[in-house]
Amino acid sequence: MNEPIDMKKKSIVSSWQFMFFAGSVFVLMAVLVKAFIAIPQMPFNTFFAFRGWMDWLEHVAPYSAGYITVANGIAEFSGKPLSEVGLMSYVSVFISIYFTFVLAPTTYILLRKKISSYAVHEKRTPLPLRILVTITAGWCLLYSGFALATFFASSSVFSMMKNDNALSQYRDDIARQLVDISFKAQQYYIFPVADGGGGNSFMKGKRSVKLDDLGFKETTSLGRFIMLPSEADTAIQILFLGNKIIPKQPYNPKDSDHLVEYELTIYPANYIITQKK
Amino acid sequence: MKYIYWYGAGLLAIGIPYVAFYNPYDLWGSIIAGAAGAALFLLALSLYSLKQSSSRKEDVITGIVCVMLIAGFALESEKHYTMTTYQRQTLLKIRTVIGSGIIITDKIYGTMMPTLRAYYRQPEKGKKMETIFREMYGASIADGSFNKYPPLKDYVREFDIMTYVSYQGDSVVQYICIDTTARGIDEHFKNASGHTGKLQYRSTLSKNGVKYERTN
Repeated sequence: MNEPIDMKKKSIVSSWQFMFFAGSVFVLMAVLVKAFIAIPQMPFNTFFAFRGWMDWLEHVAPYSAGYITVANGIAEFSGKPLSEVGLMSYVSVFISIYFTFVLAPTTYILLRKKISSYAVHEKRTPLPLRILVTITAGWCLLYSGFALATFFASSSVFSMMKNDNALSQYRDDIARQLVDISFKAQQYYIFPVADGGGGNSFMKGKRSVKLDDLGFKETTSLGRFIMLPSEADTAIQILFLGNKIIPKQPYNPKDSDHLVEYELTIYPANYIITQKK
Repeated sequence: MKYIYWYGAGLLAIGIPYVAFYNPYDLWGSIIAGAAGAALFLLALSLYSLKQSSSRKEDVITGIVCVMLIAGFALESEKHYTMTTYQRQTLLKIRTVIGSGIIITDKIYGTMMPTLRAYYRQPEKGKKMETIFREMYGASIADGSFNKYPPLKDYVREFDIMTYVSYQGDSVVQYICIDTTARGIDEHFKNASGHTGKLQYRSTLSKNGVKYERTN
């Protein structure tokens, strides 16, 4: 009565190995497509319109939360009230989490069981069932693949962002120091000689005033401040050489020595800071 | 019926923590709580699948799918959280740099240096520092505070830098400058303006020059 199941009779397309293989290929393709999309010049973009809804489901949770975080940073930056999470964002994020973690995997897992029971009873699995299980399995694999690809791409962008910010902060610190030197030098110019100043001059005796005289060191953690020789008593020139190496910028390949460099010219009532590099 | 049971269980597993951690200004709490509920749900689903299983290979696939979903979501979300929080903090740091620059260059040196210059330019030094300062900026001073520039039409005091002026005798002028938007070092610091935790500088003008320090 009960004949043994002959596995050879089963179509290879309905085997879990095939579906897993097909899903893996799909994920690999998705990762590659994602990588291409990261490069704006690639013409592939137009062929992947489907990525709109994929992106929505995939990214709506972290993107919405990140958007609110940055929007509130901007609000705080400009002294405005913080942005509230909109109802639509709140519901959208919930739907995406529910779809990703409940609807897709539950449907896949329960349908797989149903397909297994068909196989046990040697019945042919209905086509819609197979399509649905493939879609849900594909979704789960695609989602994971996209998420991992986004993670690696974001890591790279984040690293660049941190480098850029570190350099900006370094330049801010230098600018602050140059401003302080300028105002100290101008005060030196104003003070009479009897009070330790230059008496309407940047000279100290027969030489130009030095950074030491103004209370600054020539070498600091930022770099070197070099007072350029000058015979004029109404201006001072200072060259700043940064000790920080700038990572090579793709937009300026000619930048060979990667050194931050400023020139500061101080006059009795104003100053000019020129960024040389 | 089995499907509805699991879909319903998933709805509760994600929905309850998601709503419980609601914050009108931040979605991360809800997302993390919802994802934690989702992880528990997937664990329960996997155990159920394991219990009912007739195939070891099927169990392995189910496990891989669940782990990949959670891992992918966790990694991507963590990276977004770190990046956006970093961006927010950077924006606030930039705001502090801008506020400091305006206070030091424009508010402190911009008004004290001309006063100092005028003080030393007078032939007999007959006028005291306070007198010269009042002569130069007296019109702008009101109620112990002043702004160098006349108010603009869309001037909103709350978002501006406030400068409070006081005098020590007649030879020292003191400022307390507060940026009412930029964050200071200590978030609990009580500013002279009544704000809390905002950027604040104190400066002194005397015949010895201009000195300033950041007080928050």
